[in-house]
Amino acid sequence: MSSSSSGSGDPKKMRLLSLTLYRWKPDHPVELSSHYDLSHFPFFQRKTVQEHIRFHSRLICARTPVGRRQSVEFEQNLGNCHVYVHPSGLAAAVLTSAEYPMRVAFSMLSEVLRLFQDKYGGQWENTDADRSIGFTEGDEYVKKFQNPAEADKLTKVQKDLDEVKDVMLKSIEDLLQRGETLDSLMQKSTDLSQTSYQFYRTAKKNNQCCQLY
Amino acid sequence: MACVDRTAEFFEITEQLSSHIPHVAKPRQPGHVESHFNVVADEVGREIHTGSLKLQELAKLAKQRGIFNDKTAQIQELTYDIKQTITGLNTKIETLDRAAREGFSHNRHERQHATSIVEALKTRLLELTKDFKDILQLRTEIMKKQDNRRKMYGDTMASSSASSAYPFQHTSPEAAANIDMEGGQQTQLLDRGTTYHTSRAEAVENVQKVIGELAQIFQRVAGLVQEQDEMIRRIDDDVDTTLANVRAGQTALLDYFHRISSNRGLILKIFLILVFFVVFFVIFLA
Repeated sequence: MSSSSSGSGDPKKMRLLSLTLYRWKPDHPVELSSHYDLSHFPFFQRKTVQEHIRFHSRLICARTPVGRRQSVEFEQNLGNCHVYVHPSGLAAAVLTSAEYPMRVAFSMLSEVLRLFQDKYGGQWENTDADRSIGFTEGDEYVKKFQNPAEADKLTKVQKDLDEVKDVMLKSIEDLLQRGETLDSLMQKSTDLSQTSYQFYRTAKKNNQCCQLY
Repeated sequence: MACVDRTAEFFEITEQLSSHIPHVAKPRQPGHVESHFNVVADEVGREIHTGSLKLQELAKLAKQRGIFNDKTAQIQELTYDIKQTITGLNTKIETLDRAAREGFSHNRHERQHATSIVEALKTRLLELTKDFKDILQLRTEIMKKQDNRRKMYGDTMASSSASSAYPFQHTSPEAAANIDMEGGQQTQLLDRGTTYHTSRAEAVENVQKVIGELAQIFQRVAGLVQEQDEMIRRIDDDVDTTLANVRAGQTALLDYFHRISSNRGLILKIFLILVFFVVFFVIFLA
C-alpha cells in the first residue's frame, strides 16, 4: 500500500477505507459495486490509493474459497482486508485500518451482503464485466461504520455496560462515604442525647430542695 | 544300585496317557453340562484376563498427553474392541449362570460350586467394566485439556505469525498462509473463518459476565443502603430523645430561675419570724 495514515496505533483512528462487492470467480471476481472513503489521504494520492485498493481486494477475494471468511493483514500495520464470500457466490471485501475490530467488519459485511441480495437479487448472477450497480446504501454503510462503536450493536452494548459499571462503582464509593458520615453522626447524636439527659437531671436536682444524700 | 534309564518308557507311558485323557476327562459324570460348563467358564476367565490386558494398554495410550502425536484412531479401535469383548463376556456369563442354575439338579455341592464360579466371574467382569469406565472418563478429561492446549497453541501461533513480518515467508504453522504480492509487498493471513465466530462468542460471553458483575454490584448497593437506613433511624431516635431532654431541662431551669427571682421565700421567712416574735411577745408579756 502506498500511503497510509492509519498506522499509528491510535485506538481512535479506526477507519473504514473501502467496501467492494463482487461476484465471486476463482481467478478474477467481477466487481459489482465499490465505495470508498479516502478522506484521510492527501488529495493527489487518492486515485492511486483507490486503484491499489481495488486490485488488492479483488486479488484477496479471488484467493478466498467460497463460503469462507478471511482476513489479511498488511505490512507494518497499514490495515486489514476482511473478505467474506457468501455461499451463493456474492462476495464482499472491506479494507480497514489496523485497529478496526474484525468482528464488526464481518458483521457489517454480512449485513451489506444481505441487503444487496434483497435489493438486487437477480441482477448480478450473470455479469462478467465490472459494473457499478447503484448501491447507495453501500456509501451509507461505509459512513455509518466509520465509528464501529456506534454502528455495531454488540460494541454499543458493551460500551454502555462498561459505562454503567463505572457509574455503579462510583456510586458504591459514594455510598461508603455516606456510610462513614452517618456513622460519625450517629456517634455524635448518642453523645448529645446522653449529655442532654445529664443536663436535665442536674437542672431537676437544682429545683428540688437538696435531700442531702 | 543299578540305575536303569527308563526315560523312554516314561515318555511312552505319558504319550499313551495323553492320548487317553481326552477320552477320560470328558464324560466324568452324568450330563455334559458340567464339563461344558467348565470349558466355558475357563474361556470366560481367559477372556477377562485378555480384556484386562487390553484395558491396561488403553490406559497407557489414553494417558499420553502429547498434543501433536494423536493416537485417537488407535484409542477408538481399542475402545471398540474392549466394548465388544465385554458385551460378549456378559452374554456368556448369562448363559453360564442359567446353565449353572438349571443343571446339577441332583448334586447340591456341584451346583454351589458352579454358582460360586459364576459369581467370581461376574465380579471380575464388573471390575473390568468399572476400570473401563474410569479410563473412558480420564480420557475425556485429558481430551478436553488437550483441546484447550491446542486452542491456546493455535491462537498464539496465529498471533505470532501475524506479528512477525519478514518478507516472502513461505509456510507457517496451521493457521497462516501467504499471499505474495507484486512489488515485494508482505502480507499475511490472519486467521481462519472460525475466529470470527469465536470472537463473537467471546464478546457475548464478556457481556454476560459484565451483566453478572453488575447484578452483584446492585446487590451490594442494596445491602449498604439497608445498613445506612438503620443508622439513620437510630440517629433520628437519638435526636428526638435529646430534644425531649433539653426541653425538660430548660423547663426545670426556668422554674429555678423563677424561684430564685421571686421574693416569695424571703417574704415567707420574714412573715414567719414576725409571727414568731408576735407570738413570743404575746406569750411572754401576757
